[in-house]
Amino acid sequence: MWIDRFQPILKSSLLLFFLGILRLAHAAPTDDALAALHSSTDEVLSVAYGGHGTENLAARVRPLLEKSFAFDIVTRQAMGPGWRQFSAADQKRVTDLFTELVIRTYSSRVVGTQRPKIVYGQPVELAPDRREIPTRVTTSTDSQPISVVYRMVKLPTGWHTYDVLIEGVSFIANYRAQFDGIIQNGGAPAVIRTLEAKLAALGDSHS
Amino acid sequence: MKQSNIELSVGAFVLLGLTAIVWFAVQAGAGAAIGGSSYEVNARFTNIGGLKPGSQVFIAGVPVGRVEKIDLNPQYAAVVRLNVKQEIHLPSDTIASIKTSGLIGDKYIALAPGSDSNNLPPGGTITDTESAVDLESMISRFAFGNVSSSPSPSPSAPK
Repeated sequence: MWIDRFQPILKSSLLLFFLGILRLAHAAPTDDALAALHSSTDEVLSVAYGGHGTENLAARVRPLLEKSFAFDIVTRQAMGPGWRQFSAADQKRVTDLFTELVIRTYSSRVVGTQRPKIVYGQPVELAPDRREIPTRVTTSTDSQPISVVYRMVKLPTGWHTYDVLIEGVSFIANYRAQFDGIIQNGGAPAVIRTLEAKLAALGDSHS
Repeated sequence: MKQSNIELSVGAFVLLGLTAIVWFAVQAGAGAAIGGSSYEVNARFTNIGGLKPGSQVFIAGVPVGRVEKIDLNPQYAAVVRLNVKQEIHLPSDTIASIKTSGLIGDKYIALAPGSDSNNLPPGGTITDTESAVDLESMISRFAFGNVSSSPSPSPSAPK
């Protein structure tokens, strides 16, 4: 029978196939940063697309985002060189306001009821304590995948996200360019005023 | 005697002209090698979109250095070596972005210094970088991106 002749080939290719799956399964959890990003993104998406709508979404995802993002580093980096001239009280106030702004902006991006599909790429080591994880996100409204790159830092509490690049545009670089002008013109008080005004405007549009 | 004096001065004038041309060429190319001491920092990008050795490096629009060398690493990312003026101290969380002067102009690197109290050492690496934004793909996304999604009945509407 012709099938007998192909049996060894069939067997070996099946073996190779299963070995491949084993290797893949083994490769996935070896990178802690990827595992941390994967689990925190899954948690946030489950809450955001859990069928409870966007009502109070910012408050519901806040504890999850506070766990996965290093908001003190995000704020410090977004402010740029002016940050070092802020008083400790101003730094605390700016961090609180900016964290609130990021969480509100993040949750206002949740649209539709279809959970977006995320494909995770291979993590890139930027430094021993820094990783870059490329992902491709496909939303239900746009058929083309969007490139989203997460930059993560290892802190004593684990891996945390400190920057997100959407289509190559850095979140931190974008805010740093904006805040630089504000800080040069009016220092910390101007930043606090701007953030408060922005949050008030966001609050109005949501209610 | 008079004749040879004239010839000598013409020769000197031509030599001076040639020296000036060479000096200008070097200055316009990899000019960082001339004038003032500098140090090297590296930056990794996923796409440099036409940046060349000799391209300028700016902070707040002020030229502070030049691109010295561009290599491809084993992960197919571009590693760019920058020569930055010695007196410019870069905090370790400085962001390097590849920008274009005008819509179709030359590529350059813009550095946005951060707030870290530690500075990048000579030979250090800028970890936070922004690659060249691919304008063509962005335009095509806006032009063709929504072709497949139906404008009326939204997928969530029928329940």
